[in-house]
Amino acid sequence: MKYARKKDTVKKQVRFKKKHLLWIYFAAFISIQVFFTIHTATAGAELANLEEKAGELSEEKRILEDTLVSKSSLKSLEEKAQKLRLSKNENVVYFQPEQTFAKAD
Amino acid sequence: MNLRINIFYIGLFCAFALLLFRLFHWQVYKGQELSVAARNQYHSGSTIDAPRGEILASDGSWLAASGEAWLVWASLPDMKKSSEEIAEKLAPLFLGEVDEENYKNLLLNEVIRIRDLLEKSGVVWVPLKQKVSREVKLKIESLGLKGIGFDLQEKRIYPEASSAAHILGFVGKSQEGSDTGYFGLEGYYETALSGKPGFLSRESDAAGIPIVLGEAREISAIRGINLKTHIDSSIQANLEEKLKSGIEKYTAASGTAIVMDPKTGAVLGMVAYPSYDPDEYWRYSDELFSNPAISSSFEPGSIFKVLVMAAALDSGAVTQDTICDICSGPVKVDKYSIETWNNEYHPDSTMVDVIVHSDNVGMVFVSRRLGRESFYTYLTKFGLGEITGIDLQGEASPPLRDVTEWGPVELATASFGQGIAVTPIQMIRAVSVIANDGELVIPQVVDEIVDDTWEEDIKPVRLWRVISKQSANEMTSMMVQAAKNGEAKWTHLRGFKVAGKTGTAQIPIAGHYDEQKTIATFVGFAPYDNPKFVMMVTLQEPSSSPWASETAAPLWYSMAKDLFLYFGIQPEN
Repeated sequence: MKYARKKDTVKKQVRFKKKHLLWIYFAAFISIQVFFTIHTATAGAELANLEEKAGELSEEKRILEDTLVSKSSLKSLEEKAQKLRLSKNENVVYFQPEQTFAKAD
Repeated sequence: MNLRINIFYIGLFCAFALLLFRLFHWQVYKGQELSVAARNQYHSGSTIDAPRGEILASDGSWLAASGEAWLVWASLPDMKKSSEEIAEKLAPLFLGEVDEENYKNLLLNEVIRIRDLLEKSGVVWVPLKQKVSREVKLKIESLGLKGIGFDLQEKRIYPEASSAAHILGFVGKSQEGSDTGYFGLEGYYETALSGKPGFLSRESDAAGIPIVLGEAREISAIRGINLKTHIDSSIQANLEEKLKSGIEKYTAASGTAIVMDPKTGAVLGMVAYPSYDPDEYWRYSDELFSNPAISSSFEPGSIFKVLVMAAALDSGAVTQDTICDICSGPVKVDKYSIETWNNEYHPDSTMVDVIVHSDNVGMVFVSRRLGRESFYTYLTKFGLGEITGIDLQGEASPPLRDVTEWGPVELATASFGQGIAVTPIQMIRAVSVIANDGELVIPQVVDEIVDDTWEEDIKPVRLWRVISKQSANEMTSMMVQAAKNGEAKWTHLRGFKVAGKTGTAQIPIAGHYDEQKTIATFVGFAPYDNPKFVMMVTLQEPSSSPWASETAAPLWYSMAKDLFLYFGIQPEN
C-alpha cells in the first residue's frame, strides 16, 4: 500500500515535470521567435540607415567630382592665369651648352 | 430550458457558418487579388543607374565626365498653390542664361509650358524639367513649393567647352528618350561608355524600411568604361587657339588642323572650325556636328605631289636626279593645257626641283613615267579611297574612281592633286607614311580602355609597307628642300628640321574651278630625321590671299613653334 502510494506520488511528480518542461520549451521558442523578429526588424532599419548614409556620401562624392572636373580644366586655369596677369612667353632663346650666359639671381 | 440551449447552439452554428463563408470569400475568392495588392504595397523595384564612362586626355584630365543633374517633377494632388503661381516661380529658374532682348518672350513661353503641364488632366505626376543643376535645385527647394520633387539624373559635362568638340561628339537623346552618344568618341564607343543599368527588387514595410528576411533580388549595374585618349590637352588647346585666330586673320570660311604621331598613328590633337559646344549642342545647327577632318573631302592640290613623287621614286620610275624634259613650258594633255601655278618654267628640272618649285608640268612628267596602273595601285596602298578606320563616328571616304575610268587628263590632273578628293585624315595619314619610313598606320584617338579593376592598352596598328625606307628618306629630303627653298621659304623657321609642302587647290563648283576660291593647305613633319609629329593645316577659302604659302604655311609654323618647345625639339644650329 505504502509502495503503491509512493509510486503514485512519483508518477505525479514525473507528469508535473514533463508538463512544466513543455511550457518551458514553448516559452523559450516564443522568446526566440520574438527576439529574431525584433532583430530582423532592427536590421531592416539599420540597412535603411546605411543606405541613407551611402546616399549622402555618394552625393558628397558627386559634388567633389563636379568641383574637381570644373576647377582642373584648362579653360578655368587659363582664366585664372589671365586674372593673375600671367602671359605666355613669346620669345624663346635657344643656346648651345658651351655658350656662356648671364644668370639673374 | 432545452429550447433556449438549442436556440443558442443554432445561433452559434449560424455565426460560425457566416465566419466560414467570409473566410472563404477573403481567403479563396478574393485571395489572389488581395495577395497581388499586398505584394504591390510591400514589394518595390527600382532601376540602378549605370554611370556613363569618362573620356580622358593623355594626362588623365577630363575631356568628358558625368556630373549631377536633377529631374524636377510635380505631384499634382500634393500641390497647394495654383499652377499659375508655381509656373511663374519656376520659369525664371528653368530659363537660365538667355539674351536680354529675347528674355520676356522666352519667359512667357516657359510659364505657359509649365502651367499647361501642371493643368494636365488624368495624370498625378508630371516631369517639368530635365537636367537642372544643383544650384537651380537648391533655389527651387528654398521656395518651399509643396508637390515639387526631384529625381537624380546624370548629366554629361565637357569642362573644356568647345575644345575637342568634334573629337568627343555629344550625348543627346535617342528616340526612346534614353541618353545616347552621337558623333566622335561618344558615338563610336556608345555601347562601352553607357554601361548597363541594374535592378533592385525587394520587400519593404509600410515605412519603406527593407524587410531583411523578405524576398530580394538585385542585378548590379555595370558602369561604363573610361576612355583614355592620346589627345594632349595642351596641344589641343594650342591648335584651337591658333586655328581660330588664323581663320580670323586670313578671313577664311573654315579650317581644320590635325597633329598625329606618324609612327603610331596616335592623334595628339584635332580641331575643326567653326565648332560647337557639346554641353549645349541643341543651340547649334546640325551641320556643325559632323567632323570635317574625317568626313569632308577636298581636292588636296600640291600637297598631293609628295605622294605621287614618293610612289614614282619607290617604283623606280624616276630618281631624285631624273631630268624633266617637258618642263620648259606648258604641257598639252588631250585638249587641255597644263601650266605651272605661277607661269614660271624651269627647263631641265630635277625631281627635287619639281617638288621645290611645285611644278605641275613636272608632275605630269612623273605621272606619265609612273603609268596609270602603278599610280592607281600606289594610291590604294597609301590608303586613299577607303576610310582610315579612325575610332571616331562619322568617318567618310570619297570613292576613288576605277582605274579603267582614268584617261590621260585624269592621270595628269591627279598628279598635282586636282580631280581627286581626299579627307584631311586620309591625307595626313598618307603623308605620315613618308615620316614613318614607308609604313601605313591606322590613326587612333583612344590609347587605353580603363575600368575600375582592369585596363587594356590599345596597341598601334601598322597595316603594310607602302614604299621602301630609302624612298621615304629620299622623299623626306625633297620635302625638306621644299620647306627651305619653296614658295613658303619666307615663313620657314630657320634651323628647325622641318619637312613640309604647301598646297593651294582650286575649288570645283558646278563643273568648273572657281577662279577666286581656294583651299590652302600645309602639311609637314618634324624633326625630319626622327619625327615627333606630323601636322596638317587646311584653310577653306582664305580671302586675305588665296595662296597656302601666305596663309596655311605661316599658320602651320606658328603652331609648330609651340610644338617644338613642347616636344623639346631644338634647332640644328
